[in-house]
Formats: sequence, C-alpha cells, structure tokens
Amino acid sequence: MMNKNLADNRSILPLSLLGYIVSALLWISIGLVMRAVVVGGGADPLAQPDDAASTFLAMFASPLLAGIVFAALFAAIMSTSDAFLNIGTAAIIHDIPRAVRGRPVDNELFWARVITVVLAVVAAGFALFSYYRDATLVALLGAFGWSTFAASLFPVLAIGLNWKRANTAGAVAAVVSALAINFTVQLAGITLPWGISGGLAAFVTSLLLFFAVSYATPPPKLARDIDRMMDI
Amino acid sequence: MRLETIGGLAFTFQSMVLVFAILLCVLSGSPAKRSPAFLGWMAVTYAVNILVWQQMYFGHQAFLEMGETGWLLGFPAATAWQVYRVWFAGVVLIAVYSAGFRHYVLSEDDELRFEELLRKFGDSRD
Repeated sequence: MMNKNLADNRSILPLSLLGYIVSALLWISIGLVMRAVVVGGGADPLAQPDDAASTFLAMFASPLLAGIVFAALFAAIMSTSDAFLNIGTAAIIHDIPRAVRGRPVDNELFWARVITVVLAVVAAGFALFSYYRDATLVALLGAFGWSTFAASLFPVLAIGLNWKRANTAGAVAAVVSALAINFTVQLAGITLPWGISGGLAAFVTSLLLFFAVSYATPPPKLARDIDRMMDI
Repeated sequence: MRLETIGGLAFTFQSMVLVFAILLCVLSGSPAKRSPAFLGWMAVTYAVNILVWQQMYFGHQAFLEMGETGWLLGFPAATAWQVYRVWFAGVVLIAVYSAGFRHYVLSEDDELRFEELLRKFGDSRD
C-alpha cells in the first residue's frame, strides 16, 4: 500500500480483501479437490500434503497454465525471499549499528553481500533442520515464520506507532521475548499445555511486556513533528 | 474427541480474540472520532464476527452429537460457514473503513494537516 494519496486506502483495502478472498478460496479448493480425487480412487494417495497443488496442476491443468502457475509460484517465492533477506541485511549492517553506535558499519556494500549470504544459509539450514527432524510441512514452517514475525512486530508497529508512551525499552523487550519464546519452543520441541501454540504464547508475552516495560521506564521524548503526526 | 475436552475453552478464547481485534480497531482511531455511531458500527462488526464463529463452532458440535448436518454448495454446514462466510465477517469492518473513511479515519482537515506537516518537516528527515 505504497500509495501517495492517503485517501486511496478507501478503495485499496476492499480490493485487497477481494483479491485475498478469491486467491484463498482457489488454493483451499485445490486441497479439497485433491482430497476428493484421492478418496474417490482417481489418484494415488499423495506422499505429503505439500504435493497437492503440483499434482492437481499436473492432472487437471493444461501444461501452459501449469507452467504459468509454477512460474508465478517461483516468482512469489523469490520476491518474498529477496525482500526478507534485504530487510534482514539492512537491519544487521545499517539499522542496528546505527542505533547502537550512531553510524552504520564501514564498507556497507561488502558486508551487505556477506550478511545476505549468511542469512540465506541460516534460513535454508533452519528449514532443512525442521523438515528432517519431523518432516514439518512447508505450511507449518510458514505458520511458524509468520507467528514469529507477528509476535515480534505487532506490538511494536501496530501499537507503538500509535501510542506516545511506547519507548525503546518496551519495544526491545517485546521483540526479544517473542523471538526467544518462538525459537525455544520450536527448536527444543516443547509442547505447551492444551495444545497452545508457541506463537500465541510469544505474542501474548510480547504484548504484555511491551506495555509493562514501557510503563515502567521513562516516557520517550518525541520529536515535534512525530508528536504532531501522532495527534492526527 | 479433542473438541470435547477443549472445545468450550477454544470457543471462549476465539470470542475474546475477536473482542481484542475490535478493541484494537477502536483504539487505532483518533479519540475525537470515536463517536457513538463509530462504536455502534464496531459493535455490529463484532456481532457479525461472533455470529459466523458461533455458527462454525456449534454447527460442528451439532454434527458430532447428532451425526447429521445440512449442506451448502458442496460442504457440510459448519465447513460452509468456514469456507464461504468467514470472509463476510471482515466485510462490515472494511465497509465501515471505506464508507466512513472521512468520518472515522482521516478527515479532509486531517489530511491537510498531514500534508502541511510533511511540507514543513519532510525535508529535515531525508
């Protein structure tokens, strides 16, 4: 939603919802159709649920359409990976050093390239570790990734940008606690009572810490323009 | 079997999550814009959300107890609520946002003040 005119959100939001509904229903229907086909004896049972979309396209779509869908899938995967690698790299070599010591690292371009490769290797290693440990589905890895993302960033962004009392200590406590809980639960294979997901525990903890630490520490001194922007 | 032991808890929890989401929507608006009409629309949004959720949950419960269910467009009732109507739950909120944008989100005065602040301070933040 990088629109120049703020009022465009009036039409962008419903259109986004419509697009999301249509695409979600399409993908849900693929899973349901493949289930029905397998139960009806029209296809051999799938080795794993992740195979549903590719098998569906191979069985029912023309090669041209299947090719377009696969190309779109790879494009989506690559663009998402690119974006997150860039965000992670920028945070590590620019934002964090600037916040800690007042300036980014020297020779930024070289270190950006190095960190991009390191992050890609770590992410791939984590995905492979999760897969070979208990054949974790891609969808569950995605759920873990987004729950980590949401638990870490939701309190800071959704509340912090609208709440003048939010401060650095609260934001750091929220992000660190969410990351620690999510990764500990996932990597140590901890099962929480009543089947509660690690993402939920992380989210609630992060939210509570964000409020508690922000209130327990001195309020931030906002720049005049930011202060007035937040009044709108 | 799992629904039997934690179903009620899950239903309550999801209902509270919906309250949480609506409260966040209320808090995200400027205090000056939280008019009775706006709060009323938020209540309607919650009512629609909770209706969809309770139809999903109790439809499934009824099927487990009686072994029978109605069908809609190829799905059992509870699943049909989930597949087709859970999307509808968000429509009210989106409609309030779109139709009430100038009343509840960003008035024309707000937009002018925002543009003015950008003009005044924008260059100093580049």
